[in-house]
Amino acid sequence: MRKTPWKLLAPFILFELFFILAPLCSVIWQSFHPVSPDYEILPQWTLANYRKALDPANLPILGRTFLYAGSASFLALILGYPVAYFIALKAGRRKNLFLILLMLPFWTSYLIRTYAWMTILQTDGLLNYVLLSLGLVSEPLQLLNTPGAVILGLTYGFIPFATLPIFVSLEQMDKRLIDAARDLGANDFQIFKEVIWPLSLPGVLAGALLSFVPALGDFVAAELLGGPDDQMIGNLIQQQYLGSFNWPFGSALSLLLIVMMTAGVIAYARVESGEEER
Amino acid sequence: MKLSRRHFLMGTLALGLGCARGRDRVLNFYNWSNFIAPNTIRDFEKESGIRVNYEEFSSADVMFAKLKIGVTGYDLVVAPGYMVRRMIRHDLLYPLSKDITAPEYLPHLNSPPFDPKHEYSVPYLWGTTGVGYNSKKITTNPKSWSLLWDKSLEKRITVLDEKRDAIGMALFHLGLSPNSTDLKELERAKQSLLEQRPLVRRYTSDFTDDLIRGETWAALGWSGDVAQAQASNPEIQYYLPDEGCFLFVDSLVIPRSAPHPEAALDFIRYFLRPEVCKDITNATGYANPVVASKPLVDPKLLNNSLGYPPDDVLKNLYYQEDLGDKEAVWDDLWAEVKR
Repeated sequence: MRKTPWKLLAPFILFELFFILAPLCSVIWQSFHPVSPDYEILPQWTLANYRKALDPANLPILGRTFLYAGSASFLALILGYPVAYFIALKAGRRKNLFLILLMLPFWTSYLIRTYAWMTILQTDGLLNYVLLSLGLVSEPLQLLNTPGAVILGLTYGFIPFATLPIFVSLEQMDKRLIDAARDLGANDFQIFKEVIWPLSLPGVLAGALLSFVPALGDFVAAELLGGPDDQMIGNLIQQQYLGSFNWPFGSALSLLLIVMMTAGVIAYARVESGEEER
Repeated sequence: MKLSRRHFLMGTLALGLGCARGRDRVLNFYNWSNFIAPNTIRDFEKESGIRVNYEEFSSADVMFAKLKIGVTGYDLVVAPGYMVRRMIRHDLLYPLSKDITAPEYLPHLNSPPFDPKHEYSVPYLWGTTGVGYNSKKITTNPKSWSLLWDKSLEKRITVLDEKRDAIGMALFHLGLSPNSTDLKELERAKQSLLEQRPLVRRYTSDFTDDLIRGETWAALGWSGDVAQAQASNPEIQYYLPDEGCFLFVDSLVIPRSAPHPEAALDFIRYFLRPEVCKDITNATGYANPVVASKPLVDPKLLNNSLGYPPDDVLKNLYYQEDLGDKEAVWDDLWAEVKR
């Protein structure tokens, strides 16, 4: 009987080996090899790709990546929380309908939706038209190719990843706790602050992580909505793979990003387990 | 007619059989985006009975990367001249000189440096990299690359996201060789591009939309794309700066791995007919190599820097040469400018 769990785990382990470990090993292997002037991977070993990746000149793009991804994740949480709260606690019978509505835009490709933002934000686009007709501005604003546009694109792109975990944690909460708090004389604000918010915190943290990590590696938003000063690390990596042909350098950059993301996940796990102990 | 499930199944089955059976009746064509006439493929399919799978790329580097890592299945590919040289060097191309009887080409295309005897390539469309600008916003009748360094154009220009064109532009601007592999010269080009950067709204190869809508006032751009933009907004003009410009010859090549080289050869022969290639020129704004088709093309494109530049202008055009082992230096430089 004791051996059954391993048998049951086999498909999962095979899946991990094929789809996660194998590609990762190939990326690690590449990152330690030099390339010929024509980008052929050479059999020698080197740390040059890491030296190049850690070049201080790359610091601004790294800092910007964290700033944009962090802002987007933060905004996604602020916007996603009320939505999750409403669906989980107030929507009643129509819960599933609202969940579908939340996911509906995401049945369209991320790329297409980012293009849609271009037409909204461009100088003669929808948003400027509205602002001008309302008399809020006298000249059309340059909204496209700005940091704000990139952060907006990232926020919009990853908002369901922030919203759904919050929804799940609110949904699973024992609703009788709210009634109990009310019976004990708590007002709405106190109920939220003392009961709902602490119980939704794991969802908030998961949502923060799930929206932050993909935003960190994204290149589409910066490519389409950003200007020359808005490029993120994802753009640099994408350029190594598809623009030039320097896969080893691209691999080193990707691993750098993976290491930083892993640090984030570990930090999250620490906070999470700390929460449980409390 | 009611489409029953059974009919549908039969239909899919027939489609599947069609794919499996017609081994030599298929052509997988990989071309630049917006680089063909709307009727070309349809007419070719009708005449030859060959079914064409048409796929587009928007970056020559991506196209090269795909072929180099061994993505097979493409029978016919359009490649810029310098890329043809690089592909020959990597032994990626099928020699086609013995299978193609070339018509009379325009004199400046007779012996391109990347493939002087047309052993591996047939010129498809050619054009120039110059400056497209909005003549209502810029009224100074510019003639020099220095327009793209004019401080009054802050956030009003776009630069092609192609290292060859962008770094080449800086080298022309500095009066240096546009194919330079000298590290000191390239460093100067980098400084020049960084100096230009505050003017750049974005680095992109899709520059025409911004120009048409007036978001940008000037762009480093390709002649035919500017010609297409001009059709939607007549205020857009084009010039070839006096310091010199790139001439590019995008050519038809057959990868060694092509599953249907015969079909590719058929298409090349079809393309070289004057009445076929003139349609492509009229639709794309890019000149074709065939002398006999010149009288058939839209007169607007003749003797015009956009289409067929006059001879004295042609003298001031330079080919993009293969960079050999300095390719990586250019790549790094371009990444450093953009980051």
